Amino acid sequence: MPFAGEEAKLTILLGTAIILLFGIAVVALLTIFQKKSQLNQKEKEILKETYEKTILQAQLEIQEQTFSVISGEIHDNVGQILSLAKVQINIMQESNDLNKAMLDHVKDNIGKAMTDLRDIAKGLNSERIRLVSLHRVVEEELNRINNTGAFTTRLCFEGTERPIENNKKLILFRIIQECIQNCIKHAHASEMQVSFVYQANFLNVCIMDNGRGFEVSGLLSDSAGLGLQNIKRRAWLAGGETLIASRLNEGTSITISIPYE
Amino acid sequence: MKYIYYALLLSGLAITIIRWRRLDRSLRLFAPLYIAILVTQAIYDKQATPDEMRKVVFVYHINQAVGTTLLFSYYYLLLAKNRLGKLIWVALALYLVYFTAYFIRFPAVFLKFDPIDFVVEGAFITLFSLYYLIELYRSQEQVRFFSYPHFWFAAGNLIFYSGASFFMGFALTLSKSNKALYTQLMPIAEVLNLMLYSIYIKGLLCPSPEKRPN
Repeated sequence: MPFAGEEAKLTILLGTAIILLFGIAVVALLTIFQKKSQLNQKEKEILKETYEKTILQAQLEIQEQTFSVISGEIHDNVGQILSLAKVQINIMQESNDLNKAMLDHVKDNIGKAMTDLRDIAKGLNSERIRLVSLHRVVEEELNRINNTGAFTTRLCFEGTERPIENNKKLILFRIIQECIQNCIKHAHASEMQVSFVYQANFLNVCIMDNGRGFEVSGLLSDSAGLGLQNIKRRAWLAGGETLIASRLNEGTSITISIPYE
Repeated sequence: MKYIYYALLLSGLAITIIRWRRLDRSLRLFAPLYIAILVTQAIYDKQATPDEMRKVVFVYHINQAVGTTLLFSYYYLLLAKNRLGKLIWVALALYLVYFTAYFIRFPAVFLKFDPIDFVVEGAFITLFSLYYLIELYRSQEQVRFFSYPHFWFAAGNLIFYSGASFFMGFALTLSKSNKALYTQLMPIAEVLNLMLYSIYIKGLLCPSPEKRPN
């Protein structure tokens, strides 16, 4: 007889329990998945916020660096040239006769000062990094260092140049600047080289010097290596990776790989 | 158990009325639903003898039609912008037409306990609830499930209607062949009802919803 006795009771109880459990499981799973998804979303938002802060920070630091360079340039170059021009004009004024050669010299000096000022004005434009290619800005930076006579700098290329997203460009430029500053301040190097390798999906930038080097693992783990950790963190925020290699008395190389988009 | 049942229904109705202004249109549909269930239950419980009770069983079928219309409308309002939204009206029309015809054709069924209309309604509500919950999950809106009223209503409906439809489907057959076992298992349906109305109350006490999935 159908539906009689313990067997029927068990079938109904078990069936209902299974269906109920199925319903509960669906609700529980959706809740768990939703919580995970919300957590991921939150992490993404935090990452985005940190990225934006990094961009802002990089902009401020680039600006600060630019101001410092400009102040040096005005004091050391333009100021000196104009002082010389003033002295030459004073000499001509006192001697009462017009020295054509000296006048030409004054003219040249003023022209040079104007060119320098024009270059400084270019550097002051905050949009410049966005408008000019990255290696061009780095080239100017290296030329400036080269002109001091304390270092020999070199810029290398490989592959076809490809545009890189503006915010990433800004961060990457700031990283390169920081690496160059490290070379100048701490490495006791005489040569430095920046190479750009344009790969299919990544741009590899390598900053090398022939300085005194350091113990990578040791420096990354203590507070003295904060700058290097900062470089790594910034590259990571821009979706890239950093490889730091160094040997005592043989130099250092920092390679940053960053995707174009 | 009966008193707990009444207490839950009355509490639900009271909360709906008190929070009327804070509830969205779809949640307000639960006020007439509570009233319909309370009236039906009161009519049934007012009968002194089992014979008298049998005479008013048809009220359950009427309540069933009212309840189905309100619940389908609730899901329509939730899923109005969705592809399934329009199909809900079609399903409701089919349901009402089919069971009207069915009860006209078999009037005896209308006058006795036969949960066939409940089983069919349960299948639809299970489907709508499951669909709504998945849509809510996929909607990418930052809705906290536990403080979102429609989550509780849909989750409660999914659990209750899937379990109760299955149980009542068997109960229908069982009531014909083994009355004793049927009576013995009936508390399962009662417990499921208590669970559903408790979950509804939890949903009604949640903050008013601001967002809903398309």
